[in-house]
Amino acid sequence: MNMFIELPGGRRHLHKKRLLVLSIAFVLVCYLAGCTFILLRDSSRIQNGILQQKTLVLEDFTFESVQILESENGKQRFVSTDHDPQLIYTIDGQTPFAPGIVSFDAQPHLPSGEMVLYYTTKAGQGFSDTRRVWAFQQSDGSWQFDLTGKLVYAIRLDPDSVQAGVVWQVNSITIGMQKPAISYYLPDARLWLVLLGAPWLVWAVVCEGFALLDILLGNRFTKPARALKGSK
Amino acid sequence: MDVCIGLASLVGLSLFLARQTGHSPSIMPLVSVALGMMWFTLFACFNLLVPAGILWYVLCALAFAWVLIKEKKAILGYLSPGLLLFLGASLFMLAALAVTKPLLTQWDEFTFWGTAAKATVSTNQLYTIAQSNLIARTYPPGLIVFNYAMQFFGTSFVEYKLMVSLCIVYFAAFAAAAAMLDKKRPAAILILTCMVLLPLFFESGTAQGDVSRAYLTCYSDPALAAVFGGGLALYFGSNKKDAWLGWLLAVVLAALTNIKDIGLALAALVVLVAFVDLIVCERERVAFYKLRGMHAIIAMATLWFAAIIGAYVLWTLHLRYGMPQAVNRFDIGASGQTLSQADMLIAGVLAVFGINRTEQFKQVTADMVYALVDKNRAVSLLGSGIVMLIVIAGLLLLCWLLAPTKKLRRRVVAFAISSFVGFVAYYVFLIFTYSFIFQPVEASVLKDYDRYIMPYWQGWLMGALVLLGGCVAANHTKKRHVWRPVACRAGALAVTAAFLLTVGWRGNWQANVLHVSTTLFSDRLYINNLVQQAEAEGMQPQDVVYILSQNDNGTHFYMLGFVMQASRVLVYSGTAISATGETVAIGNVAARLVNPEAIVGGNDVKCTPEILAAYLREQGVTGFLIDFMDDDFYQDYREMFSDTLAGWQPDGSNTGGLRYYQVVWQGDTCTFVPAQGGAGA
Repeated sequence: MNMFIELPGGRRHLHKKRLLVLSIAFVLVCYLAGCTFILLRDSSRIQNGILQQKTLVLEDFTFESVQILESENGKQRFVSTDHDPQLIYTIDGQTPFAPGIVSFDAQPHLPSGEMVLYYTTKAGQGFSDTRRVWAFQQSDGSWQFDLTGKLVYAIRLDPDSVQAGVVWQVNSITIGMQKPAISYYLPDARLWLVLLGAPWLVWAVVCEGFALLDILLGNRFTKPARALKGSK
Repeated sequence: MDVCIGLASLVGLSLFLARQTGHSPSIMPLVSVALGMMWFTLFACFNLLVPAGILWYVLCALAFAWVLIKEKKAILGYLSPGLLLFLGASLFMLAALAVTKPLLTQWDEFTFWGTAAKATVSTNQLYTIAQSNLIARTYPPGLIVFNYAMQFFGTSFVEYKLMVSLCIVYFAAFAAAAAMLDKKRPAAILILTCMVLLPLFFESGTAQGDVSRAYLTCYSDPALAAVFGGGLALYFGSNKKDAWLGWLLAVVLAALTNIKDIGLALAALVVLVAFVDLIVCERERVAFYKLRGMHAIIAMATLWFAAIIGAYVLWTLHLRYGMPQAVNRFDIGASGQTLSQADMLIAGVLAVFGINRTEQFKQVTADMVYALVDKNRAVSLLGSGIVMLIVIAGLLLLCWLLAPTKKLRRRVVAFAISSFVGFVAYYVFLIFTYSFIFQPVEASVLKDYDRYIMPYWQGWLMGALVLLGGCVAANHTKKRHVWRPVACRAGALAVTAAFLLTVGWRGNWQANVLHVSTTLFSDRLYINNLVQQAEAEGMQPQDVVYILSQNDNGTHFYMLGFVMQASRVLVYSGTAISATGETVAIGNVAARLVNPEAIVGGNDVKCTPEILAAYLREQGVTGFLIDFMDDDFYQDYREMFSDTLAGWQPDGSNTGGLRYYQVVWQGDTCTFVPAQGGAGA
């Protein structure tokens, strides 16, 4: 594809429309490559056992502001002792694992507040506000945290509530769930913004960058320097 | 769908205006939005919102059709980068929010912005007149009526559409920034990229990792900031300084005044900047009908001031004569209400000259000066005010270096000086409000400092970016000074990259407008459920409801007021803020109503069922809604309920008990019975 429009007198212009098409293609290819990369990496993590679907029981966790109650109807229960109960899960603090999609299926006896999951990306790292995800509640009432593609050393589940003393009845806690392959390619709003906005930005940057280079190099691309001199 | 029609009307009007005035299509969305605000405000003041809507859409449709017929295919030439951004970004936001349907969560959205918008849309009357539980009714209506215009074809008020309406206002203002670059699309894209990042860049109240409310908030400050900066962009971006510019900017300034009280000051500062620029750079070119030179400049400035004063007077008169209870706008202060606005200005100016300086004034002045360098008072992602000053000064210096003509260099210098004077004036004005209007408790912590100062910072930065765009637009490739076009392009690229990196790395992306989790609204969902339950249990729209919401700091009271709307939320028992700023638990229902002074003093007020009953009778309460109760209430007031609070536990927790009761009188005995026709009867 010729990226220049040839003009009479040996002058040339950048073919901006073609460049825009190329920008769109470029962003699209980058996007698909990125999605494929994450998908393939997850498959290799499954083979290595790093990404593994596991159903956890309360004994797998360490707690903060949480008291375990006796099971009822075969379901484990716990009660929060303040408004910020924390359930922490780690293998041994040193072994990384891929949490995939974390599902927290539990029933509070009072309305719950923000549902947040913190994670650490280095061994021995503390939990921080800059590394957390918010839950999306599913139609069955369970909460799901999407950590697809992340490799973590510990996760901390924070089922907040306005007050202390909320009794949670746990149906199941699952980590390492994998999305169907097609979901890796479905953009959310953030990625839609990238898909729709980035081509224009790439196009603008290339156009301006090209013009910049062109001037710096004495109009080598748009107008041969010799022709310029000769025309005067 | 309704918002799409609203957008179409704005685009149609923009194309029409661009064709008729010969000015850049990029500035027209802002003018259209401002026209809409003023149009609906004018009609709303006379309680004619529905005719206003019908006329607006008919006229816009005619304008759209006319310009399409006249221009045919040539209409594509009007699709400037600014106009396309306005349309594209608005549609994107509409689609994104329609999927996630975020809810309002912040305090003032319930005390005013959301509640007023809901009252206006659902009654087709302005919130000043409409029957609703809204308490504060005197704030200017620009954004509220604009939202009404956007939801005109909707069947009922929708929260996320209010957010989209505000986004439309921002994007309209941002589009104006690219007016000078209509022919240089790549550069326009770079400047517009910076623009749409501004709300994220100036989100200062949040720490890194917090939930971002940029583009989601319904507070008026971001709109104020955008329209202020948009006004500057419109002035600089207009290719001709003619009478049309006078009128277009006049509309925008009127709208700016009509967004919030402080908009008056910002609009006046736009006039200052424009006036100085006209004198310094445009004296030969400016024309106002037959007037030229200084005469034309003075005529334009007069027109602009007239527009500002006109918008202000319109609302003042409406408050005085259009509302059921007349309000004198000059008597309204902020929360403290210690001085009226006019008295505040006089006292403030005197204090500047050393006369009658109060302790509060001295303290506030010292605090405000320190706030500029205080690391804990970030005004943007980059930090405190001094950093912003350096950034803006650096940008303007860059513009000065890159400007290819003497005139443009003069313009940059004139803008630097006039906008700095404007900043000082705005800052002093804020000092006045903190010194003479705010309560000492609030003034001592400079409450909401970053939110109040943000509009000026953002508008100022927008002005500087517009001038940078102007430098790019004015630079042609010449053999001489080859470094300048190179540097211009490099400058624009570098500034955009800096913006992207700052907002990308430092901004909050974990939970923001593009990634909204429903669990952020758990409090709201709880309230929505509570109201649904109460309605199922027989709460009627005309009921006067008493809310039992012990330990509430007012959040649930205002949220319920917003959600319930039709019924009058009357009173509640929560906590109170004492004069010393502490939160005092009331502990007993109605205590704050019986003896508010006692609460402020920290004394325990004992309320009894008799006092409560007397109060309910006095207020004409017909319904009793239980949001949250404690064990004391259960013990002392249980006998007032005909079912003795069946389903409620002695500790105040609910295990299937009713939420809503009807207030029934037998002589002087007050009983709460399950409502007739409800689930509990």
